[in-house]
Amino acid sequence: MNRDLFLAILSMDSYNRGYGEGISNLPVVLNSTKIGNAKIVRQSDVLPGSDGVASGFYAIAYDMTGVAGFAAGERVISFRGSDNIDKSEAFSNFILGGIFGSPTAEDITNGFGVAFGVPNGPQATLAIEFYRAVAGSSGHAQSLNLANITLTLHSLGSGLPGLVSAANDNLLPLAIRAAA
Amino acid sequence: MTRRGLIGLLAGAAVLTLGGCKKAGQPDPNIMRYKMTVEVETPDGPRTGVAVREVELKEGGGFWFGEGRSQIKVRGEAVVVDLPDGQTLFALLASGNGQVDYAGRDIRSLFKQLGGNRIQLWPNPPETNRPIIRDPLPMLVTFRDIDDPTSVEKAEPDDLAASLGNGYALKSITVTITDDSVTSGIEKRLGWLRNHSNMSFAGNRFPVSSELPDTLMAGAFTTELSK
Repeated sequence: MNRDLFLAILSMDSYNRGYGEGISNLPVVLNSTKIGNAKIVRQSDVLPGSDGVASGFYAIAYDMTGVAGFAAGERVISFRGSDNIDKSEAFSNFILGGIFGSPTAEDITNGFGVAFGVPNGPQATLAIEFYRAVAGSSGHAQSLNLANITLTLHSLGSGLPGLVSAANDNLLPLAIRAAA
Repeated sequence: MTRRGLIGLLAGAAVLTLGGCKKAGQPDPNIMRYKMTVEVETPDGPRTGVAVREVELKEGGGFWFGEGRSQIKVRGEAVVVDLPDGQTLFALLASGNGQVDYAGRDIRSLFKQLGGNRIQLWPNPPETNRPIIRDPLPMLVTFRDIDDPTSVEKAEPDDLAASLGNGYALKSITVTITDDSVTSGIEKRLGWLRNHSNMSFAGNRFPVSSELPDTLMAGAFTTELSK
């Protein structure tokens, strides 16, 4: 399978795992569940009350060893994009959320700030935290910019990897693939 | 912007915000509360635990946002069954097969599919389709040491005796629609729970394994810690 196609598939997979998933009952058994030969090795918060769920953030990491087009030990992190914009409050939160903040339109108030040059919102912070955890578990806790990690993304998920790569001095524009 | 334009903008925002408010006095059809009752047979007779949770459907989408899915939020906590000899059984907000949206999405779906105000989950688990709920039971856990979160162990519904000892058996689990207040306060029993809002019981910020202590955080026991 073409590398870019597989990355696009993984970028969609993040919408269907964890909490609030689009397809119910897809398992996430770390170091066991696979999609093709890509093995899930880490996921971000999934339980209520956690920072990730409260801010609408979700990311999942895969070990790509044995997958054609990927290096042994290479990790891919897929960031979920916008998926929890409350219809009844979307407009008012869009206008007012930036002024007063809102706990309900999670992706708008906790994630969209990346697009406007606000790098320290909850989702941005979690994206960096998750990247560092994955890099650390692959032996690069002290050399995050050398971790062999590809970031794949869709929608809101596209701003987060750009920020993560810049924050870790690991600008790899060719390794960031936006799903079509 | 002129003063008139600013006033018009703020008035428009207010109208759109207030337009989402529910009419006073009418129940919100997107909100339901249910009581989960767990009954356990013990050597000293049956023991019961109850917890009330609230489930809210938040409709997604919007005329220019195509990426908003409906979300189902749950408030509440695990059912606690106090047993003889100081043991405690917890029925978590997650399902036996680890579905984290069980207490909200799956229970709501059960009532939508099966109808009625009361559903028995054990000893006769309901059959479902559209969607199929593979495990309609909550995850049952105990602690070898209630003060040590890493000592958490899963208890099997059809063999509680293996976890708790001879004479123990799961008698029933039911869910019933209710207007009672949402249960809270489990953190008083589990004093370390607040330390695990963002850290697994095994001590990892993001789990690294599928061992039970690494898959559980405070959110499997309560949603109310931050309130």
